[in-house]
Amino acid sequence: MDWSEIIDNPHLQDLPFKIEQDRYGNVLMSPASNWHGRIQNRIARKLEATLAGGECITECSVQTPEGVKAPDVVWQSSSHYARHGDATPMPEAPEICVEMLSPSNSAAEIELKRRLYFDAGAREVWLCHADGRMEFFLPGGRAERSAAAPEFPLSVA
Amino acid sequence: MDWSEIIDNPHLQDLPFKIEQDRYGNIVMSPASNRHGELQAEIAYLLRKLMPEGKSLTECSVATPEGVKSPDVAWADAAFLAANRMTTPFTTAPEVCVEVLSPSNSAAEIELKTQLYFDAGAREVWTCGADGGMAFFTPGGPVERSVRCQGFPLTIG
Repeated sequence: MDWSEIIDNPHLQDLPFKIEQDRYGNVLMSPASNWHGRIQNRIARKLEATLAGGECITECSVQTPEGVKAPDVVWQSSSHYARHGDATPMPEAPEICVEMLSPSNSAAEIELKRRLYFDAGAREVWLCHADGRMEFFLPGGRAERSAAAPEFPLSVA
Repeated sequence: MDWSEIIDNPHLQDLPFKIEQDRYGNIVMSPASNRHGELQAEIAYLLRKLMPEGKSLTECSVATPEGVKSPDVAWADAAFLAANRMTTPFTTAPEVCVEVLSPSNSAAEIELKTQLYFDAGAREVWTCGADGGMAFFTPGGPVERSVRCQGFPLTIG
């Protein structure tokens, strides 16, 4: 299914799942808890407070060779916005992509997504662990803090 | 998510999608058209009629290293059913596994599933195109007709 068919499908409107695509275009769904939603919003607020010149989008869709994926939070600079606006899905990943880990996420899956976001143009990929601990990655590997938003807290619990 | 969590989830009960799993345990959903349902039922009927020593199963679940997959139709003999009928998902594949193709299925996806069913113990994997044209595979490759069910038509209505 095309992404537009997926987002227009009435059966997929009110499900408590995060919706993405697999490499074959099938609908991919993973459960989203209320904790997930709360922390997702908290990350977006703190990110906008610590980094000027852009805006956060929750569950922004990004085109990748493994299907459309949706980082839980992205930070999009105004220049990325000037290039792509609200393109759905985004042909280029916004500068910062944040993925929240849930018990059902495997390490291999998160590693794949991290690579896909970097390949799609992200400058930083952040992970938020189930205990609120943040982990920051640059294309070269793990970093102590975000390079773009060094003030961002190391934990959002 | 475990397969038991998926099949017990009330949000997933009445969706017009076929539900499977990816290798990470996420839910994979593909749209099921009415034509798909018609072909699926016809194949199940023909299998039962031509091989009355066993039974047809629709959308049985089979555990594979790439997650739980679900052949649209399967045929199993009495011995398989006696040993496995109370197990969900099956840990070995029924003797014949059939996928009804839809426009959203990619060739690579069907090739992967065919291999997974063989690896899980299927003796034959069949595919049925939207035009009703059948294709038959054994672990050694494609064959003109089914070996196990030689009377199965090459095209169904």
